[in-house]
Amino acid sequence: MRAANCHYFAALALSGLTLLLASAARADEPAATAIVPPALARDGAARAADGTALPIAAADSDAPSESAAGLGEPPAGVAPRRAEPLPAPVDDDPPWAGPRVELGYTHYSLGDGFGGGAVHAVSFGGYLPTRQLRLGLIGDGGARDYALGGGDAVLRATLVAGWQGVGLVDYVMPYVVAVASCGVVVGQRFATTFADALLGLGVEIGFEVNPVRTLHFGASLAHVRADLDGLGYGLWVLRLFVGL
Amino acid sequence: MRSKARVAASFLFCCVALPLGIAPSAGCGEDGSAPYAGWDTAEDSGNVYRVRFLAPPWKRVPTTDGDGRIELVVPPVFGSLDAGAPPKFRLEASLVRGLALPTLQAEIARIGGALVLRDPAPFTTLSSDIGFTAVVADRTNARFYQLVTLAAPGDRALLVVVQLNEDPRNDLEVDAMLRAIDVRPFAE
Repeated sequence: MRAANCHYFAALALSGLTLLLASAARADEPAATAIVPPALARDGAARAADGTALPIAAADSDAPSESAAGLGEPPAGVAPRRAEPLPAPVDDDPPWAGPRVELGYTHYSLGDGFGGGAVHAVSFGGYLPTRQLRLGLIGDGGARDYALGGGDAVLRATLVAGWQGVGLVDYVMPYVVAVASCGVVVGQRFATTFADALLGLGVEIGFEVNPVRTLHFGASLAHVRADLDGLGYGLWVLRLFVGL
Repeated sequence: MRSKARVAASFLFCCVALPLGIAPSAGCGEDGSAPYAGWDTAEDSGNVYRVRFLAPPWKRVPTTDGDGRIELVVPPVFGSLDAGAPPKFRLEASLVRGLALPTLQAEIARIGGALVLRDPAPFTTLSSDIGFTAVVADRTNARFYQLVTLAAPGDRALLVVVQLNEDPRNDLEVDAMLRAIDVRPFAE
C-alpha cells in the first residue's frame, strides 16, 4: 500500500512538473507578430495570430496611413455609421452528433429454382447516434434475375438493432446486429404480374472504417431466413456502403 | 468493468440469443431455391401422368372425371376465368391411342391454317420421358401452339397442346412447364 502511494505521488509530481514546464515554455515565447494576410481576413482587417485586430500600420508600413484626424465633422442630420461587430470566427465545427446516413450496394440470392435469383440493389439508410446500441433503418431496391424471363423488382426495408464497438479500435468500428426486414417482390410469371411479400429475420456482422470526421465506409454480411409467398430462403446478404 | 460486462452481454445477446431465438423461426416453408418450388401438381384421373403448374397465375379447369384430361389456363384478367377474352395460356393434356410422332403429325393437320414454325423434333422431359414437339401458328386466330407428344403405357400417347398469344419458341417458362410433365412410371 505504501509503495502504491509512493508511485501515485511520484506520478502526480511528474505531471505537475510537466505542466509547469509547459506553462513556462509558453510564457517564454515571443509575442505573436505573425500577420494573417489582409486578403484572408474576413473583415479586411489585419489580425495577429491570436485573432486580435492590429493597427493597419503594423500590418503594412508601406500602405498610406488613414486616420480620422483629417476628416471633418459629418453634416448636421447625418449620423455617423458604426460597423456592426462581426461574429467571432469559428475555427472548427464540432463533429456531427446526429444520425449517420449511408449509401450502399447490396447483393444476395433469392433463388428462383432455375438457376437465377441474384439480386443487385442500391441501399440507403442510417443509424442513430446511440453509442454502443446500434439502431438503424436501411432501405434497398433493386432487380432480381429470373432465369425464365424478365427480372423482378425487389424493394426491402430492414430494421437493425444490436451492438457496435464504439472506440474499441481506432478508425474501425465493428458491429453485430439483429435484422428484421420486410419488402415486396414484383414481377411477371406467364405474362401475369404478381406482387409477393418478402419477410426476413436474421443477424448481421460488419465493420466501418472512419478515416476522417463522420465519413465512413464499410461492409457487412448478414444471414437472413426469409419468407417469400410461403417459400423459405436462407439468404446471405452482402452490403458495401459509404456514409457520413 | 461494468461497461465491459455490458458490452459482453450485448455482444452475446446479438451473436447468440437473437440468431438462435428468431432466425430459425423465419422462412420455415418449402425451400424456395429448389427446382419448381411452389409449383402445384395436377394428376389425371387414371393416375397415368401429371403436370406441374405455377398457381397463380395458372388455374385448373374442372373436367369430367374419368376422361383422363387435364386442362389448365392462365386467365386474361388476374383471378378471372370468364373475362370474355381467350386465356393468355391454355394447356390441354389427354391420352390418345397411337404412337407419339403420328399423333403429333395428326394434331398439326387438325389445326386449320397452321403455319409450322418448328418441325417435329425429339423431346425429352426431366423425368426422361421421350417424345416429340412442334410449334405452329394458327393464322386464322393469331394464336400459337406448342405441341408435345410423349409415349404412354398401353400403346397410347400423351398429347399436350399449349395455346398462347406469343411465339413459344423463346418462352422458357412454357418450356420448363412442358419438361416437368411426368408419365408413369413416375420419377421420384
